[in-house]
Amino acid sequence: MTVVYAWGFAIAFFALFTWLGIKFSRVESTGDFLLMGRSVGFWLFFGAYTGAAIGGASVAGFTGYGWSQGYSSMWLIAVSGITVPAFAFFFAKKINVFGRKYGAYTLSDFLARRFGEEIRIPTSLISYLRPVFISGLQFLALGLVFKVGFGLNLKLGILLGAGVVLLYTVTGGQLSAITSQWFQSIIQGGGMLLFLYLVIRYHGGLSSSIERMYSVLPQHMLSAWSTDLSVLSLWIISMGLFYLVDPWLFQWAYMARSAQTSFDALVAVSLSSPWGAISFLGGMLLAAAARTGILAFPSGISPDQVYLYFISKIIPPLAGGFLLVAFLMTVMSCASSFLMTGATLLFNDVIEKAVKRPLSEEKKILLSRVSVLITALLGVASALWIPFLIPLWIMGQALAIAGLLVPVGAAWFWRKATPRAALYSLSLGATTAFVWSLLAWWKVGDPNGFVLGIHAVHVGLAISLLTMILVSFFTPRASQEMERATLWKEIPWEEE
Amino acid sequence: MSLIEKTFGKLTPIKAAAWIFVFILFVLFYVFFFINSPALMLYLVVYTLPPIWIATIIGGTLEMAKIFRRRLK
Repeated sequence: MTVVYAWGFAIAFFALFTWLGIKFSRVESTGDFLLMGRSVGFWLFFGAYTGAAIGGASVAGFTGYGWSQGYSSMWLIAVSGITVPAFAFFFAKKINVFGRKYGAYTLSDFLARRFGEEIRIPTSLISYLRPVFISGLQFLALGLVFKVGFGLNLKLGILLGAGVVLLYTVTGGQLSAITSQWFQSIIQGGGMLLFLYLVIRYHGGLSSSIERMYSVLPQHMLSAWSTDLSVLSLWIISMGLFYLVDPWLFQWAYMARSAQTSFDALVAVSLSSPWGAISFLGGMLLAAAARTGILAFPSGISPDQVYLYFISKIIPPLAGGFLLVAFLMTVMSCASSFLMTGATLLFNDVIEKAVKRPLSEEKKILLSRVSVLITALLGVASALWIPFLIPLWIMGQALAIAGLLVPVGAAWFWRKATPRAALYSLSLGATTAFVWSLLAWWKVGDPNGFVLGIHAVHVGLAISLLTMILVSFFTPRASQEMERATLWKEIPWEEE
Repeated sequence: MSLIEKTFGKLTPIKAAAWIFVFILFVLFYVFFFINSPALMLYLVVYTLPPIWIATIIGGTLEMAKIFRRRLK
C-alpha cells in the first residue's frame, strides 16, 4: 500500500515540476537561464538553498550516523553552520556586487579577473568535478529510493530520476530549478517534521523519548566530544573551511536579487543546521527504540538503511508513501542545484571560451542547455558505471579545498600575490592532494584516510600556501586594475 | 551609515525581530551542542522548526506568485 501512495504523490509532483520547466522555458539571456537573471528573492533563496543543501546523504546518512555514532556526529553540520554565516558576513555582499559589476557567473570568473585567463581552466576543472560527482551520487540515491521504496530496477530508477530532473532543468534553467527546489524543500521539511513526530510518537511522547534515549544509549553516544581529534580537524576543513571557496556558494551569492538579499539569505540559512539535527536526533531515538524493543529492525542493518527501512516497513502506509516521496524531493532538489552549477561552469568557463567568435544570445542559451545535458549525462554515467563514487566525491572535495583555498584567499586579501604564483599554487596544491588521496586509498583502503597521520587536504594546503608565498616573491605582479578588482577592501558592500 | 545598517540594511521592527530570532536560535543550537544536551536540542528542534517551515511556505508562496505574474503573462 505504501508503494501505491508513493507513486501517487511522485507522479503528481513530477508533473508539477515538468509543467514549471515548460512554463519557464522562454528565457531571454544566458544570465536568465543560468543565474535566474540575478533576481532570486529572500524566501525563494532561503527555501531553495535549504532544499539543495540537505541532500539524500543528509537525511538517510545522518540518520545512520545518529543511529551508530550518536550526538558527536552532529559536528558534520555544526562546522558548516558556522562557516556559511561567516561566508555571508564577510563575502556574500561583495561577491554579489562583484558579479553585477563584471558579469561574473562562476568562481573561475572571480579568479580570472584577478590572476588572468590562464587560471580559468584549472579552476573550472577542479570546480566541475564536485557537481558532477554529487549529481551522480544523487542520481544513484534516486535509483536506490526507486528500488527500495517503489520496487523498480536500480538502473531504471536512476534513469527515471535523472530524466525528470533533466527535463525541468534543461527547459526552464535556473528559474525552474530554484522554484522546484523551493517546492521540494517544503515537502522535504514537512517530511522531516513528520519523521521526527512519528519517532517521538513510537516512544510515547517527547519526555519518554528523552528518558529512554538517556537510559539506554551508551554515554559516548550522548556526548559531542567523543570524536577523534584528527577526524574533527578533517571535518572542520572539509565541511567548514571548504564553504569559503565553494563554487556552488559563489553561484548562490551571484544569483541573489541584491547584495543585501545575498547576505540576509545566506545568514538565515544557518537555520539549515537545526534541520540537519532532526536526522541525527531521529537516528538516536530510533537506536533507543530498537534497544528497548519498541521497534524491530533487522539485526546487523547497515546504518545507511535505517531511515529507508523505517519509512518503508514500519510506519503506516500513507505516512510511509509521503515520506518516501519527501525523501525523493530531498534528493532531487540537491541534484538539480548541482546540475545547474556544473552546467554554468561548463558553459561559461569552457564552451563559451572555446568558441572564439561572438555568439548570438539564442545560440548561447542553446549551448547552456547542452551544458545541462552533458553534465546530467556525466552524472548518470558515473551513477551507472563508477562503483566508487563516494571516494571520488571525497577526492573532488579534497582537490577543491587544497587547490582553491589559498588562491581565493590571496585574491581577497593579498595584493602582492602574482598570477603565476596563483596558477602554481592551485595546480600544485590540487595535484599533491590528489596524489596523497591515491596513496591513502592504496595504503589504508580509503582516499579520505590518513597516511602518517596526515590527510590529503593538510598536505595539499601546505604545499599550496608555500608555493603562493615563494613564487609571489620572484614573479611579476598583475596590473593595478586586476589587483584591485577582487581585493576585499576595494569591493563596496552595496552596488554603487 | 552605521555598522548595523551597513550589515543588515534598513531594519524594520519585523526584520529586527526576525534577526533576533535567528541569532537566539543560532546561539542556542551551539550551546546545546557544546554542553552535550541532546534533550535540549530536541526541544529546540521540535518547537522552532515548524514555525520556520510555515514562514518559508508563506514567504515563498508570495514570491512565487510575483514570479508567476511577471513571467507567465
